[in-house]
Formats: sequence, C-alpha cells, structure tokens
Amino acid sequence: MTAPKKDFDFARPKTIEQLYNLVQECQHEGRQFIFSAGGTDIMPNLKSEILSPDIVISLTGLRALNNIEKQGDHIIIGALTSLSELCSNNNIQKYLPALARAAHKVASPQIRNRATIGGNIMVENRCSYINQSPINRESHSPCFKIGGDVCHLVKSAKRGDDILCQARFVSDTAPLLLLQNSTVNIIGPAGSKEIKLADLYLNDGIESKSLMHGEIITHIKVEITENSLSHYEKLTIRNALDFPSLGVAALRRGNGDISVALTGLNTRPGVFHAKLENHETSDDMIVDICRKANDFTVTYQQDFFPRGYRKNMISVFIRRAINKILEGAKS
Amino acid sequence: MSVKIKLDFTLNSRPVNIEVPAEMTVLNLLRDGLDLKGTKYACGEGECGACTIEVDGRTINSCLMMAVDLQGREVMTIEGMQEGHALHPMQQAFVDHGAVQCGFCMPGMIIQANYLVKQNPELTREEMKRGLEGNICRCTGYTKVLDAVAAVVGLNERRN
Ligand SMILES: Cc1cc2nc3c(=O)[nH]c(=O)nc-3n(C[C@H](O)[C@H](O)[C@H](O)COP(=O)(O)OP(=O)(O)OC[C@H]3O[C@@H](n4cnc5c(N)ncnc54)[C@H](O)[C@@H]3O)c2cc1C
Ligand code: SF4
Ligand code: FES
Ligand code: FES
Repeated sequence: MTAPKKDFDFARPKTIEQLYNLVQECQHEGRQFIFSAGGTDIMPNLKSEILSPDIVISLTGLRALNNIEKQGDHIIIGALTSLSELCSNNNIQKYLPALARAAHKVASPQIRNRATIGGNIMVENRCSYINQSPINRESHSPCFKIGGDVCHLVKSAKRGDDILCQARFVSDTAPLLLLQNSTVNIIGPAGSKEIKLADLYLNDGIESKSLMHGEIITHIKVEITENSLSHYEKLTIRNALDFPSLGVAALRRGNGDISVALTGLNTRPGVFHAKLENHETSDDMIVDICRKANDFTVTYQQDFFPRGYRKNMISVFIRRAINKILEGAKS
Repeated sequence: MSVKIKLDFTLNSRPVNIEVPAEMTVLNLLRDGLDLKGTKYACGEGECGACTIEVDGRTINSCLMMAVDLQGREVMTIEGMQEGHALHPMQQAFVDHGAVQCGFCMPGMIIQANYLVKQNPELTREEMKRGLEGNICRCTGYTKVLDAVAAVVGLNERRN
C-alpha cells in the first residue's frame, strides 16, 4: 500500500503546552487522535486501516525528550530516543549492554534509525489475523480488535470474557527494562505521574496498555543493578525484520538471584524470579523458572513457527540466556 | 477532502516548498509529487528497504515516514548521490563488481551501503551484512553486493 487510504490531519506541537492545547481541542471537538513518535509501528497500521484517526499528532517536535542521562544509580532515557541512538550510547553500552543488544535486534537499521524507545515499549500487540492487508482481511469478518464481533484465533471468545483478544505482546526492549525495575514518567491532561513499567501492561490484546487516552510517556527511568549480568535472546526465522516469536531477557543480581522476563508469549510480558540457595545457581532454580514461564505462556497458532515448537523453545531459550550470564559470571 | 499542509525542506541540496496532503508518505511525495522515480516502492511497510533514503544524515524507510514530518529536514535520495555526470564511487563499485541485476533494490541498497561506510570507514564484512539486513534483493544473492561495498572500504587492498 502506498499511502493510508483514509484522509487525516497532522500536527507537530513543539512544546508540551502546545501538545495539551491541541489534545484538549481534539477532545472538545470529538476528533479521534493518535500519537506518533518514529511512526514505524503506526504507519503499517494506518495503511492497513487498523488505525483510522482524524488526526495524527507527532511527538517528534518535543526535542527535549530525546536524550540519555545518568543520574546516580539510574539511567534516564527520553521516550523519543531512537533505537540506534540507544544502541550506540556510551552509558547504555556500559551499564545496560543487554538493552543495547535487545534494541539492536529490532527490525532493521533503517527502522531503528527512526523507531523510538517510547514507541517500542508501547508497540501495538500483534496477531496473524489482524496484521494483514485489507485485501487479506476481507476474506474474514472484522474481529474484536477492530470493532467486530468475533475472534478468529479463539473462536469461543465472546464479549464479557476476561481476555477478549489474544494479540501478542511483542516489544523487544520491554523485558530487560522490566528486569531493571524501570519506571515510566507520564504526562497527561491531568498532570504528571510516575508508574512502574510493569503497571503499563494490561491483560487484553486490545486494551493492552494502561495509559489513558491523551497521556504520553516522557522518560523511562532504568535502575542500574550493581554487579549484575544480563542477556537477551530472541527466536525469529530471519536474523532481521522479524518480530520476536519469543524473547527472553535474563538478569543475575549481585546476590545470585536470577530473574527472567518474556515477550511474545502472551498478551503482556511475564517476569519470573528464582532465589539463590546454598550460594550456587542450581538446576532447580532454572527448572523452576522454566515451569513458571510455561504456565504463563499462551501459544495459539499465531506465528510462523508451529505452536508446539514455540512452546518447546521457551525452556531452550531461557536456558540459553541464563547459561550466557553464568558463563559471564565465571570469566 | 485531504488537509493540505505547507512543507519546506532540502532535497538533494535544493530547497523545496510544497503543499502536501497530511496522509502522504515521503515515498509518495518523492515519486509522484516530485517525479523522482529513483526511490522504489515495493512492500510499502518497512520490510524490504527499496525505499531507503537519507534524512538528516540517517537512512530511513521513506514508505514509513509521513511527508509532513520532513519539515525543516535535509533529504538525500539516489538522484543526489551522483557527482555531476560521474557516478558516486559506491555506484561505480556496484557496476564494476556486477552487483546489479534487475536493479530494483539498488537505489535503497546503495544509499544504505554508502551510509554504512560514512558511519564506519573500516567496516568489516560481517558488519556490512548486519548493516544491509534491512535491504532485500531477489536477484544477486548479496555476495557481489558485499564485494562492491568491500571494494569501497578498501578491504580487498588491505587483505592483499
Ligand atoms: C518491518 C518491521 C519490523 C519490526 N520489527 C520489530 C521487532 O523485531 N521488535 C519490535 O519490538 N518492534 C518491531 N517493529 C515495530 C516498531 O518498529 C518498533 O516497535 C518501534 O520501536 C516503534 O517505535 P516508533 O517510535 O516507531 O513507534 P510509533 O509507531 O510512533 O508508535 C507506536 C505506538 O506507541 C505510541 N507511542 C509512541 N511514543 C509514545 C510516547 N512517548 N508516549 C505514549 N505513547 C507513545 C504510539 O501512539 C503508538 O501507539 C517492526 C516494525 C516493522 C515495520
Ligand atoms: S486474537 Fe485479537 S486480533 Fe487476533 S483475531 Fe482474535 S480479536 Fe482479532
Ligand atoms: S517499500 Fe519501504 S521498505 Fe519496502
Ligand atoms: S538486483 Fe534485482 S532485486 Fe536486487
């Protein structure tokens, strides 16, 4: 598709004040708006008519939100920082190398040059029925995620269910950020607040983020964990351009405790912990994490890989990520 | 009715002042609005790299960027690489190494290759592969593409 089919308006406010005047105007006039940062996630969705706003409000004019700073034992990342800037930043490479690795595994160099970290933790959940061209989607009726009355993936789903839509959470950077106890700073028409990143994510594939309409993320505050080691592993068919069929971030704290966070396996990310006992990482710890991860996983057939294979790979990738950090601990 | 928005930017070192519909992509603007057909339209969704151009010194997929977002920026397309009538050294290297077959992916491939070498003049072959992973070519099998980029980097000379 060359361009979005539906006409919409566009604005790029330069300050937060201008932004909120505009948001209030839109709310007053009943105009549907969406925010765009790098636009690499919303653009395909605009073209395939999954999104059809009256106006796109670009956040790229908010220059102050494009920076990375170390403040004591935290790294503050502006939401508009591009993934390529993130990957090459000295503080990120020094204190959060696994985050740089995860960001580097997103999409392609051209996309990373524009894609932002804010957009990445907010990336829309995906499903193989919805992320298709309108022509493909014409062959079946609209599903819940675009206002229809059916789910093609889970045929028994009905309005009123706890989870209506099983579209997968796919952000590559969120798992590591979750392990680093990150918080996000949010500004909205009602003022500003700070929430745990974990509280950004909800259970449903449609309402998958807890931001209120009109709120934006300004910064992500990431804890630097002393003497820790971390790693990210991602299962894809190709080395580039593929969303994670599954992704595993692992972190070993200075005291030997291990935590693992998952993406691609449910409507939200999952985080699991195992405490160190008897001063040694035991296989029991890893088995325990793998069991919790398997319980958490919901694998419907919505990926290139067969669901059985993807399910088997969960433990393989968790072990791979943990072994990598344990090797690092020895050396 | 489309909303039209005024836009000023620099294209291949020349100023452009134009009005564009808000929903127009940069790729549409280049090909249809400004008649620069070098930049190619293939997948339209960020998957192939045929539409790669440089914006403010960084390569991006022009099919994923809104034209209005070019306000105040500097753009280089394949048409801007040539130096007078002479091909740019990167273009010449692709010709010399037989790296071009049907040519459809080439404007994007060459813009990206040139960007990689500007970023890191000492690029290794492995880094070239990583750097070109967003550019899909159905014809060449990539080996000769890498040979061409390696020639520009001077890798071959260093090895010999
Ligand atoms: C071919 C292709 C491959 C891809 N592969 C991957 C992949 O492997 N892994 C992956 O994680 N992603 C992938 N993506 C998706 C996307 O490119 C990335 O997730 C990217 O980081 C999104 O960032 P963005 O700035 O472009 O987001 P945008 O498209 O601008 O925005 C995405 C969403 O976030 C919201 N948003 C953005 N910034 C803010 C903010 N500051 N505050 C509040 N809301 C905000 C937007 O409103 C929108 O809902 C891929 C995309 C393409 C086209
Ligand atoms: S899981 Fe969600 S996106 Fe997929 S078909 Fe069902 S309702 Fe639609
Ligand atoms: S046409 Fe833009 S990436 Fe394929
Ligand atoms: S030369 Fe034909 S697609 Fe690359």
